[in-house]
Amino acid sequence: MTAKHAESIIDGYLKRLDGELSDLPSGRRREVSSQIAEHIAEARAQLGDETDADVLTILDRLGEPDDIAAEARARFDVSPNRPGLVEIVALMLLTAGPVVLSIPPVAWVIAALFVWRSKVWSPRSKYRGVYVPLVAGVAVIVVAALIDGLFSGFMQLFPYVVALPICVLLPIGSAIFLASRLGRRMPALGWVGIVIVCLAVYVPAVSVFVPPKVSAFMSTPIGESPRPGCSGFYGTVQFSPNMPMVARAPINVGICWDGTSVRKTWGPDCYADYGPGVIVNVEQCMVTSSPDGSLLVQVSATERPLTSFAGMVSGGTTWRITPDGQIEGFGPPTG
Amino acid sequence: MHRMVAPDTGLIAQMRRGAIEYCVLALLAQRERYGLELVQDLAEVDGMVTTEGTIYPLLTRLRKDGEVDTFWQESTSGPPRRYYRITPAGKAALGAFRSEWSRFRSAVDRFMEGGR
Repeated sequence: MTAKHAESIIDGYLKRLDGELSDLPSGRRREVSSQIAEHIAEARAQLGDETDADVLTILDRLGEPDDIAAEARARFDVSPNRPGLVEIVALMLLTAGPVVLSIPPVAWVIAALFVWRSKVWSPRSKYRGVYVPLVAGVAVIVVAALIDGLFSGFMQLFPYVVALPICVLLPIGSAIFLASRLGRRMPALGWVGIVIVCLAVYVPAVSVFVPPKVSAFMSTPIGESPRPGCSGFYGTVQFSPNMPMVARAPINVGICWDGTSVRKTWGPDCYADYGPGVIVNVEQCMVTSSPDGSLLVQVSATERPLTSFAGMVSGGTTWRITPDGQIEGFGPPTG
Repeated sequence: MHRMVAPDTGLIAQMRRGAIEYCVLALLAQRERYGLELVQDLAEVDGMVTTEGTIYPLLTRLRKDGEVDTFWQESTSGPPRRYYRITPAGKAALGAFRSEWSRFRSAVDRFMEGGR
């Protein structure tokens, strides 16, 4: 009689062995693993009536797959493959690639080529971890592109709303799977490098999804200066507030008011104020007089992450300064 | 998940690894054997084989070096068996080792026994 869990126990053992033998040339690898499989089959045939414990004993006597693989490497004079640049590049492309190369499957396909070149991951890991998800993901994208004619109006975006997360999340899943197969074999410095690159790519890319904030204030608040008074108007569009990649597009105007009208004395001065990771571009920087004596201050700008060609956010506003020197449109002056 | 294995660099382990190759050839010189049978015959002698699975990489290498070849035969009790058989090149290698080994053994023995 066949033991209850024999097939799954043996299958697991042979899979582990196959993974451990991945450093060997494929012919040698096949020969060793089929010899081991024959050994198990023969030992089971000789038992006749077997139990799970008998199967485990056979495997115990054979030894741990990594011991067999170590012996095979020694006999064939093969040094174990250590993860290196190919593996690091593949993992970076899978994690940060879809963000950088905004046509999502492109980085994914390039990553698959690097994975294919790698001698560290076993063929089984490559198929299950990368090739199958890639084919499935690309199939979903193609289907989404084909059926987008079926939807109308706002719903036309629906296929892409489905396809885009797949293009970003599936490769990350692949990367986590492949990384777990490397474990401690990868030097710590390699892991640190991958994490740093991912943070450097993702933080700016995510920060553009944070809605911009606008604020404005007068250098001399009303009531504190004699009529007619003069002051500086300072408005700011703040991109990615509360993120490390915070960026600004300020507008500064000098104004004077006399109770019936406001007029410009200097400006407007506009500039882009941003750190590494994002780029701000000022599109419009304008001051116009209104027939009722008020002044309209307009600024609009765009922010885009340096690490991705996809995301871009625009922000801008118009403030109205009334003839008595009050800012309208965006509440009380903020500092 | 990856278990660290201490490299088997001990002198005795090295000697065993080197000698087992010729023990396999010697067994196959008596008669052809299939894998499990060969492993069981080696394991009968205490201290020769600790993990049975490590014999198969050796057999693969011997076959690649042309000292052993294989053929398939039906079995009455189970799946077909891969039999291993020594080749003329294997016999030559075994003969060379055999004469070297007996000289080496008696030389070492003379010191080991004289030292007591």
